[in-house]
Amino acid sequence: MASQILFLLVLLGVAALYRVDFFFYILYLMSGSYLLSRWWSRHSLGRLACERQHHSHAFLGEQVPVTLVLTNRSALPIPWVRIHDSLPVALSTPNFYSMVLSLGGHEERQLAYSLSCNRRGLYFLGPLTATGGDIFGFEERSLTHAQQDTLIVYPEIVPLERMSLPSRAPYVTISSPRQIFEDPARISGVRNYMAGDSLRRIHWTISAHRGELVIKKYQQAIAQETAIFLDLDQDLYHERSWYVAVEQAIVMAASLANYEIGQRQPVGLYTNGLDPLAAQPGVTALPPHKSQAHLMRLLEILARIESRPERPTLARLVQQFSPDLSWGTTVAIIAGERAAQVGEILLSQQKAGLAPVLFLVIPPGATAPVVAHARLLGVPVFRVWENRMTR
Amino acid sequence: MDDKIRRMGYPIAVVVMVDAIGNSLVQFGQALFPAWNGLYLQMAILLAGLEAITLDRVMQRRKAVEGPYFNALRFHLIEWGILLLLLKLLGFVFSGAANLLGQISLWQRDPLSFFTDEYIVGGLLIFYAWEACLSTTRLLRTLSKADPAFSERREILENLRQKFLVGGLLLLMTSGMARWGAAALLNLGAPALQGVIVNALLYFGLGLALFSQVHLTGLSATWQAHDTPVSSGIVERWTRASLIFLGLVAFLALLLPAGYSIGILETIQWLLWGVLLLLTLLYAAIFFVLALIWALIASLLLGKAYQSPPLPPMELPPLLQSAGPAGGAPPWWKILRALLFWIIFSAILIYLIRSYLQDRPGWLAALARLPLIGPLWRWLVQVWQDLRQWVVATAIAVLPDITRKRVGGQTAGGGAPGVWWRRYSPREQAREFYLSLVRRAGQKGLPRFADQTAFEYSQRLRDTLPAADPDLELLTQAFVEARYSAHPVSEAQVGQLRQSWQRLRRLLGQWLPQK
Repeated sequence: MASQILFLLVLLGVAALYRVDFFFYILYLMSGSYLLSRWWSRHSLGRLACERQHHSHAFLGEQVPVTLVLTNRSALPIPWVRIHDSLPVALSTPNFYSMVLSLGGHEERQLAYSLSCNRRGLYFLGPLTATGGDIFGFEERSLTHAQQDTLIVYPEIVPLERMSLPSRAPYVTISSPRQIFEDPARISGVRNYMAGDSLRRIHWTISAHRGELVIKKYQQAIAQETAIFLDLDQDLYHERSWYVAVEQAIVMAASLANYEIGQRQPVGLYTNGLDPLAAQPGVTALPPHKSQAHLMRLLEILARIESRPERPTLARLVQQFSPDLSWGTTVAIIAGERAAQVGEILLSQQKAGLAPVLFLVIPPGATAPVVAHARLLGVPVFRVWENRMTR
Repeated sequence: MDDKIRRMGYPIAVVVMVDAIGNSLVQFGQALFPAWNGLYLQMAILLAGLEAITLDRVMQRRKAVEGPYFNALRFHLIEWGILLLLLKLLGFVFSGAANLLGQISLWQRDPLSFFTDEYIVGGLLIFYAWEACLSTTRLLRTLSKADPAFSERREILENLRQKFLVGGLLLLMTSGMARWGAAALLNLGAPALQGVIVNALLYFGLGLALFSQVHLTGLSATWQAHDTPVSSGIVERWTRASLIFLGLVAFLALLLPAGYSIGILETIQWLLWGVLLLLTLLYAAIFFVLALIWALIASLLLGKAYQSPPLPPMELPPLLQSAGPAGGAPPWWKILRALLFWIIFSAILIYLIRSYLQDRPGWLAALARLPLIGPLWRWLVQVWQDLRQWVVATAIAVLPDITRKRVGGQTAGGGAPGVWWRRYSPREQAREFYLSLVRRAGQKGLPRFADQTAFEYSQRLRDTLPAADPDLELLTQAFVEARYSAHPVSEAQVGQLRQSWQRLRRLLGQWLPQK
């Protein structure tokens, strides 16, 4: 470019000195080519609009198609533009998408690629860089479209049957004060009236039909609220495979939540992991609820949550949120093998009328003192590893 | 890219361009020695060029077969020998066969008489033509090499561009000299020469078209080397766009005044006179309106009975002839053309000098240190910056929608200060503040190299601008976090970053490169 400017300066001098009209024509031709081609490339590249279209959420193992919509909002064509979209390495190999294309005036083009969602997480797509230039190579410009899109990949959900957990039976032994009651919404059959039966249970329609009093038999139901306490302090997981262990803990939490909501039972989540989108970095709490939307919210948090060292302790987490739980709530604690103060937590939960159960993420063969502790208290303990659960 | 066009078309275009230079040299020679017929030399230059590109292809084939045993020097020596003989032969073809027989007998008596001055100069010219064609063809071939490790593509393009521009200047200067003659050139009062110089038109037209295609070849090779997919139809679109563009530029250049019948001082005089005339008319119009209002008020206050005192007999004021430049008014078309010419001339000159100095920040710094020019320069820069800020602020105030749209979709740059970041999220702002800093530092001669990490670059800037240390660290750290992690970026953090960025921007603005 410097040589071009120098040339034009000299040409200006030569044209002025020689006073040949045609030299001025050459001067205009050369400076016009230089200035107009630069203006053209700047103008048309500046008027290039890029939009990324894709689903913002995906399940593990899904292929998410992404469409880049490029619109030339200028009437002038863009002779060449190289699109480079930076992608997370966990979703795409190589970790970018690039393409060279040209666009006519007011033309719209769509480029498509797909992302392999093989790992849960919150991912940022972009930034997208459009590099273009003039037709003579005087100048190259890159324009970064700063807008970053996000893609949330939900964690793996494993059916509890596959984790060797008898899913039809409650997985906790209920302490004595716990109430098992009948659900008046679910009638399992009728029987003849016996003395002492409540009048409210009389099935008046069938009684009228039979001519004798008949009592409604209700299904026995457990109104079982579950609160999942997920410890994501990475220092407290298996030292050599903390990453796998943490992911397993998250899978466990997601599977448990999915199972509970499938059973139409309310479930809540409390974790000390780091939520990158949280306004305040601290603990994350989602009180129990049983709607499908609640499950999606819960899975979304589990998708983006990250383990970090030196997080608020599990004991603090439980202490902070367990007073809000209903009496008799099952407290599912998911922790690593080096989890601290778990014995005290279990004891305090039992004393508070809650039903604790411990899911310990620990490689097979490894031992943890907390297991003996829990068993002494009569708390069910499940060892979880590689999507398998053992007592 | 159509490989056939590239392999055949490019070298032939190069030969034609070299021959265009040869033509101007021959014309110059004929202007110096009117009796000399230089047509044979131009023919020899054309043949030498064609021979060079043929030789290049033959050598390529032989090199592929013979490998390390290939002897290029042998080829070159034979080639030069043939070309020199050809030059002599062509000379005799154009001067007549009878002359050849006379010369042969002379060579027998005096072998050195073979090497006449004309022959030596001609030989040197065809050697340069041959070498220019051969080296350019090789550079063009190298440029199309699709090798990811090949990094000299930009240098080759620059080399080609320099060759083209130097050749163009040589062509124009010799053409000009050939048309004027040295004595007439110094006569500044002589009228400008008109007419089309065909070989110059051919050289520059073909050169620009070739450059457009060569740039595409280079880009295609780069994309191929990096496995970047290219959408179909790009070559056709490129060729079409470049031809239309060149046609349009040529047409626009044709419309512009290519000469000046009125000198720059006289044009300025006419311009000032025009401005004065405009102001006088404006003054008269305002006065007329005021007089009307006053007459209305007077008739309302004093009633119809009011009779204005008799006015003295009116005389027309003298015409504004004296305001115009001496020597009578030239036709308006001549003035307009001259005005347009000088405006374009000055605009090109100012733009080129500005761009040239911007590419050399060291020179600007040296200029700013000069005792008299320095303060004046700084004042001019300040005035320019104030003017720009005022224009931008006014544009934002008057046309907020348009300015917002113009800023939309683009990264932070030298655009409207205080506006662009508002449309980004805190995370994007953190990134953009840093990128804006990199751009500004690059403009000041501290570019970030492709192999530098953000922290390495920050260290380099810290070494240059020690006062920027805390702000640089903050901005770099925030950029890395925003770019590579999912950590939340709060509004409060962005507020801090903005202040740091503004301080850094000021520091960079005040910074001058060392000698």
